[in-house]
Amino acid sequence: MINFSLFFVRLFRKLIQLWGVDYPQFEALLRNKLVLDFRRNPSKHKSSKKKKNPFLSQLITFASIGGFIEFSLYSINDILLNFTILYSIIMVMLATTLINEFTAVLFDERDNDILLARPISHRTLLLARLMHIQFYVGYIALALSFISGIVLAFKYNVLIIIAYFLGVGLSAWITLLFTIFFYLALSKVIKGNKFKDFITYVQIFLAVVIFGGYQLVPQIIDTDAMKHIYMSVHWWTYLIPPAWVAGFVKFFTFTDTMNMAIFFTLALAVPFFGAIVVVRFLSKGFGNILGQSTADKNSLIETRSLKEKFSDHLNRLFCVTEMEKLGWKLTMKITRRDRKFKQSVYPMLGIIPVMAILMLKPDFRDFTGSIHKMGNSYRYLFFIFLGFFGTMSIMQLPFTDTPEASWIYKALPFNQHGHIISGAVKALLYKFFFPVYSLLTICTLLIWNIRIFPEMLLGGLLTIFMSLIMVTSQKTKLPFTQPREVQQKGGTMIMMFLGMFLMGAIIGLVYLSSLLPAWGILIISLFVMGMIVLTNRFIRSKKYMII
Amino acid sequence: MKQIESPHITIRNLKKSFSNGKTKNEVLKGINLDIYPGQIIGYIGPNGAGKSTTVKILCGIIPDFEGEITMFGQDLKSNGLEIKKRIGYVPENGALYDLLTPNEYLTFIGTLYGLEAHSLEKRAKQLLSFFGMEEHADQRMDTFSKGMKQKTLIMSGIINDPDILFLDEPLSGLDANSVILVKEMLTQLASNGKTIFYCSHLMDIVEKISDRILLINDGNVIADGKFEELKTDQSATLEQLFAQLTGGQNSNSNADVLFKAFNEN
Repeated sequence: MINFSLFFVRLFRKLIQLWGVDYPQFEALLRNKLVLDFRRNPSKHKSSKKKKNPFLSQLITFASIGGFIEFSLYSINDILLNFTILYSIIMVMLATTLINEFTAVLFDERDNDILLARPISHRTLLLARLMHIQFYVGYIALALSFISGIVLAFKYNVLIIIAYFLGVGLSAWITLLFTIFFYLALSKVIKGNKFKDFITYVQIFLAVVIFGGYQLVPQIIDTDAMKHIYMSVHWWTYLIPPAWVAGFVKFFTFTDTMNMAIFFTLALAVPFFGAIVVVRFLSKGFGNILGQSTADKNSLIETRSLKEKFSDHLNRLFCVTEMEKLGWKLTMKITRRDRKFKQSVYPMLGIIPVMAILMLKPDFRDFTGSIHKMGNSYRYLFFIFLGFFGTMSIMQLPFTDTPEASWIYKALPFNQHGHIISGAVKALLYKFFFPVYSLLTICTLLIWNIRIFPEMLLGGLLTIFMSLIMVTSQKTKLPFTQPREVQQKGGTMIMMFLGMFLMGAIIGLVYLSSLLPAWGILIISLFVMGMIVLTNRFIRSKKYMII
Repeated sequence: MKQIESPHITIRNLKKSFSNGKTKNEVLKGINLDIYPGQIIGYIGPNGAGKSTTVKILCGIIPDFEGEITMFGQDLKSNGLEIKKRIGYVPENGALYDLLTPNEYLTFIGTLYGLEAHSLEKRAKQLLSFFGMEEHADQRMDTFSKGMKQKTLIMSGIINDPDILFLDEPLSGLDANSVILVKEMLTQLASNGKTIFYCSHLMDIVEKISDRILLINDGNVIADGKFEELKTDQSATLEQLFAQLTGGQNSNSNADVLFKAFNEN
């Protein structure tokens, strides 16, 4: 596969040299990256033979999503509109994948010491990185468009289908260019560490938007109306990249040739000249970003470790032993500073408002009316369910970029590992679940009234109890000791579904309890509190395998 | 007599500071140096003094700095690419792709320097045999010991036959035999007119093989010269000189503090 890809790239040798790139260096860099990827992956999947290659399963997911999209668009008769929407979706999905998963590859600073001292121009390095990413993005684009291509074959002739797949390649390349352009422009405005933080927030924002989009868009699209919609070409249509590619495809129907010829030219010229602009003129900015990250390592980041935060003191309230307090403090500090932890936890929290709207489906045309109507229903139980997303940070607890550091747990004369875990879990519940659930409770008290407070209290306590039970039932690892790659094996997914299932049971319980008078619910709550204390004691006393 | 030649490296008023939000950390505070062909420079200084930063700037890994650096008569900022072709770099912390074999790694690095496949293969073979690594040439490096990786790094640093060689802690992890090998290599390269610039914490080795010792402390060069010229009555060895100049000479009282820390409570 590597040799085939390199052969394919070699066809563009002259073009690549035209962009000011040293071809032999470029090829060496690209080959090296691909070889490293291939050596890294198989060994991993040898160790767990049952699991498929994560990239392959990702491709299958993308393929089914792509098929689904084209089925829902099938009724559109206007070829330009059909392809514009299709390419828009492909481009948005690729851009999201790029930003979420390949940013790290693009700005990989681990080989700075190896590469930056060699006589490689920024252009060559940038293009090698782009092509390396394009290798994966290309496969994803192909997976996304594969089933659509088959579906479309029923509707259009072979020429269109070939044009469609060429268009997919162009979309992938255009998306990549736009993304890198966005990054380089952004890096001019925002410098250094702030740039990375900003990208983190963009990633979180995108995750939430995409999640919401998946849920909301199909509800908006009215299939009947779609049959008759026509896409007419206005001046601003020429500004929409997916329209270029769609026009590129429509060009082969040889109708409306004038307009389509413009789209056709745009679809080919932008990738070519865009690459010249990015590779030739903006690559210096790329080099500076890389150089900056070397520099960041040398700068000292002062933290307010002397002046402890309020939350650092609170551990006295919740933690019983010194070791527990230690686990709490460690977790508080690391979750505050570890960018990747934030990246995996905050999207979960961002999903909550989206889910709230989806589940409650308020009528925005008569908002107060629908809220009022809700006040007479049992829908506050949904809010208890949403609280679950506040506990999911616990699943991220074992993971870190520096698993080597866990030697301390093995080498130090200390066996109270359970105390560290219970302290850490308490810290996460305090930091993420408590504020989320309080906010949700306030919302419910506003819509319903104080009368349901006991039920919300019971729901919250049961959620805490459940997350503790999940900690005990799993072979929970010590905080921040596991390499992040292990995570991709789908364990989190299973835990999430198990959690959601248990949440269903909790909601059932709360519903049943609502038949009791308020003092009855409060007594049950006290009982659950007792159970929480006991479970914590159990977590503390359990023996743990330290791996 | 070598001093009459034009210098390989001239550094004028080199400053570098890293800023992070409001705090500004000045690492290099105005360094001026002329380094001539055939010199072995031992670049020493306490932890965090700015040694690695200097080397990274000279190698072009950190591109923005204040001041002027000229190498082979060319300005580093504007002719970085041309200069990089003539320098070699052995990074610290074993930075290499350890999923490759030494052969593959050397070929990769050599290609980046634009070497011909044929001559590259020959040179890699010779280097591997010099370091006694032929039998490991086609084994993946992820199972290698630190010393074997270090040898590969040194080979990749000289694969392009550089005129200036920068080494950052080159002897870390090497066994005694390999240390002798590297010392020999450095002296030989220097006698062929190459410039060697290396950072180290191993004072006895720096003392023995350096033609010129640069001591950097707190972003400034505080001593520059042959060991014989630098040593004073109180400092018979480089270690003592180092301690004297960088404020580590009161180590006896430091030890007292340490003992106190354990004895109180």
